[in-house]
Amino acid sequence: MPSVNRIVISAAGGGKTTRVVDHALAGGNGVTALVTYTRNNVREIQLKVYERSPVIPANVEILSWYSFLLRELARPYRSAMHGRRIDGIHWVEGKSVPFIPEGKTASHYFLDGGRIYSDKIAKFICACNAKSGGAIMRRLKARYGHVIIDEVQDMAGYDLELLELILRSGIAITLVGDHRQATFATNNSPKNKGFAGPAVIKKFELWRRAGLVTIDYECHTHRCNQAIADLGDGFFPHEPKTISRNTVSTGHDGVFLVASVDVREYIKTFSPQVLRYSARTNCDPLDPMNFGEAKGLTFDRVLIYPHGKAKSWLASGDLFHVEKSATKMYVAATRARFSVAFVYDGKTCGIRAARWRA
Amino acid sequence: MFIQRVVVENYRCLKRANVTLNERLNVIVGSNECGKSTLLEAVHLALTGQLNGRPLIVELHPYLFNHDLTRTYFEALKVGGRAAPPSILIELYLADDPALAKLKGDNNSLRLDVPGVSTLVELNPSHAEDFAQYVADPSEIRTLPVEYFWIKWRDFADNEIINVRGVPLQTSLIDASTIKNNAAASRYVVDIVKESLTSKEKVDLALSYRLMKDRFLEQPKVKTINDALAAKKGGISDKAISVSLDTSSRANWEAGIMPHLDDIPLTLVGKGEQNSVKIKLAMETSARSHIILIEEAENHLSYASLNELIGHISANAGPRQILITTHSSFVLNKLGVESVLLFQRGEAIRLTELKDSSTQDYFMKLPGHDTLRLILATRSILVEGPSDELIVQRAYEKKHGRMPLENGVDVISVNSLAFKRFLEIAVMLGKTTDVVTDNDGSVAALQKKYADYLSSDLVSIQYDPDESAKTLEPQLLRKNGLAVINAVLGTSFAHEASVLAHMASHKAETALRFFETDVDWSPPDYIARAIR
Repeated sequence: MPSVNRIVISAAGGGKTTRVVDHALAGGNGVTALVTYTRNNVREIQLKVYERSPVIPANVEILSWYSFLLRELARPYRSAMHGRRIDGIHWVEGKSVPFIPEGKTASHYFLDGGRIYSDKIAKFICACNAKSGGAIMRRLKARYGHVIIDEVQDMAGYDLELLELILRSGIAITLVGDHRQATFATNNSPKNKGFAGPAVIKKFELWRRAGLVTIDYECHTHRCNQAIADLGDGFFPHEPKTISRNTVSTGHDGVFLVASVDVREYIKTFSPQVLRYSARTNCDPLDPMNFGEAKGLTFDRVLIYPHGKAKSWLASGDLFHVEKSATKMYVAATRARFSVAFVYDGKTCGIRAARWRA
Repeated sequence: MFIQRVVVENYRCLKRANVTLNERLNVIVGSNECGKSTLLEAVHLALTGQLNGRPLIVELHPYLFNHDLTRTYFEALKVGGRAAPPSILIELYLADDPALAKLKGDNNSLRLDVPGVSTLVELNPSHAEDFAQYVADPSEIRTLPVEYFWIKWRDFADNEIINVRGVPLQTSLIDASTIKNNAAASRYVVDIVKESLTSKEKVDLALSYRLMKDRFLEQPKVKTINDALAAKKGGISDKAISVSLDTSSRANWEAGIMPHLDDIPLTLVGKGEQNSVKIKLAMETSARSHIILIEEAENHLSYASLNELIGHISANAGPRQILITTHSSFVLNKLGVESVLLFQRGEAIRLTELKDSSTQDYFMKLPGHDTLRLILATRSILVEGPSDELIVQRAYEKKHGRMPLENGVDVISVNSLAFKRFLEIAVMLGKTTDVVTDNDGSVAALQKKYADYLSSDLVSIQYDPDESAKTLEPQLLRKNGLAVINAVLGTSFAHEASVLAHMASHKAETALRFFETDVDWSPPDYIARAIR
């Protein structure tokens, strides 16, 4: 029997949020949980719902990944593992208490016994489910008819183990995301390190082969024109090609190179959103935005300040240079509807782009 | 949806209660002060977060904590001991239902994996230091400083419940005794109607009420007044003055709407009628998730109205869970003995839980009235027949100046075979019970019969060891002598043997004479012990 669980890989600008919301509002049996990563994502999805319905229907719950973990999975049966209430989550950037073995439950998982470390909550849930004889998954199955999890490409470490547990629980699951946009990781656990970043697709493939999910590609983009879509696809040559549904012509469409002396004039003419790799990337104009922050956003035009490796890639067209930053480059390149311009003074150019002169 | 079990710790008079409820009807009986009403109040509190119609945080006071526990705590402090500060816990264990999965988990004191809600009042750790200061000198302390306590309203998944919508069970508490002032009275009356309206109906009312406010301003007379007021601008204030209805209160049709009964405002209708209307409206609501809590339905109602109301309850209960407390054996009989929970010392016993199933059958078949006399009385005296009953009643009245029932002592005439069955219940309920019995000429046989109870703290077997005075009549004669007996009976027998023969052949008449006479007589010692 084919699995009811689906993974939907959605190209940038493919209307992923819209589809997720429509899917949730379509209803079905019981309550639908719509889980997304950050609180900003939650807000974005709520706004999308309000475009379609005066209120969030009673059978749809929109919650962030960590609320979902804490309220629906970690707390209900924590007594199997831990003697007192889990008051909240303690956020850790790197690895929490790396030298305390898991045998010391209270200090391995918890700060002061009450706040669970953000990088270990999924691990705690997996262990607690085993220890409670599967009570957590039984409850989850009674609780929701359908669970939709957005931004699944960012899942890392034990989050992937937990997802697999949920996939095996018998609830209908839809995982939505785009591994090409895996610019972020929910945690830095050494667990599942081999599936970090865009390699998460390999985990999806393993699940597919185990009969846990089917994988569908949504290859259309409503945002980018074909030239921009091709630029993005260029970073992941082995993935299905994206087809643009944006045929609007503005007179300045596609991919451009702008010399640094022309930047002021270019900004004056086209008012692009300026993007940079990180705060360390050298760029003078006002209001630049980092690639990672731009995820999920749409602009008419962007002007990208490439970091060193990206300059090498522009010169040669060789993907080797941007192998490690491919996801961020993909995100940056696919923000614009009409034009993407790189600030570039090099003489050679290995990509398909036109030089713009003031 | 229904409540399967209620666990209460340290709430008012309930130091510890663990009560399993019936899915539908629960008739909770028990003596005064046993905590029946407190149990209902606790259930309502855990379902709504409200006490006396207001949020618990506003109503929190030191006497919500069990008095014994608080005293024990302070006394422990006084002798320099260490003890955990008192806390209150109320847990409602709900029957498992997929629609309640949100409330499910095992975060409860019994570690059961079921949906449920709990209310916990405990010392707020962030006030620990203030509290330590407060209790530093225990000799000064009179009451608990509730301002250092917090209230945690959570489901069994360990998540906080933010408002009453977090609990998918609706509830109506029908308890006229909570009405303490005018504001509470009108809120109670509005709630009567409000709880039975659908959300659409409530919205329609709110909308119509707002519209009415708007129309008020359009009235020509109001407009004229406002124009006149507007003309005074500058004289009193630089801003225009006008009159309008208060539209600031949020959606407040509750404040401006009063339910009427035959065009009479419901607040002006008798309390009995108010309660009866509230009960019936609650019964009308179709929600299967509706739990109805009724405190002493018989209050403020005449016998005929009560009869009609109880009939209505039993006919319309449907699948809803109903908890009803009562002192009325009439209510019990009408609603069925099988729904009865005998509530005592924090535990509820069902007749179905009696160990000996023949005892159970016996009591299920008995007319409810007789069975429940034992339950409702503070103390019982079991006697062997109508003659003994009359003698004991009168002897009690002579000694205490009141009939036994007025003191909560019930004299119950029991078929001699049923004694042991009554005693089984009495022990289970912890009821002090005396058995007044003839020795029938064999003390050994009697001791054998009551062997289980001879050393009981609760049950006293009262009999006379003189085997020559086998029954009541010779005992009366021996105690009072021939002259007194003749005086009481209005006879003039010359010999004890002949008066005994007369008494034996006119037992009922003899007892009646003793009951009615003005002549002073004394009960035999074993009866005197029973009426102590």
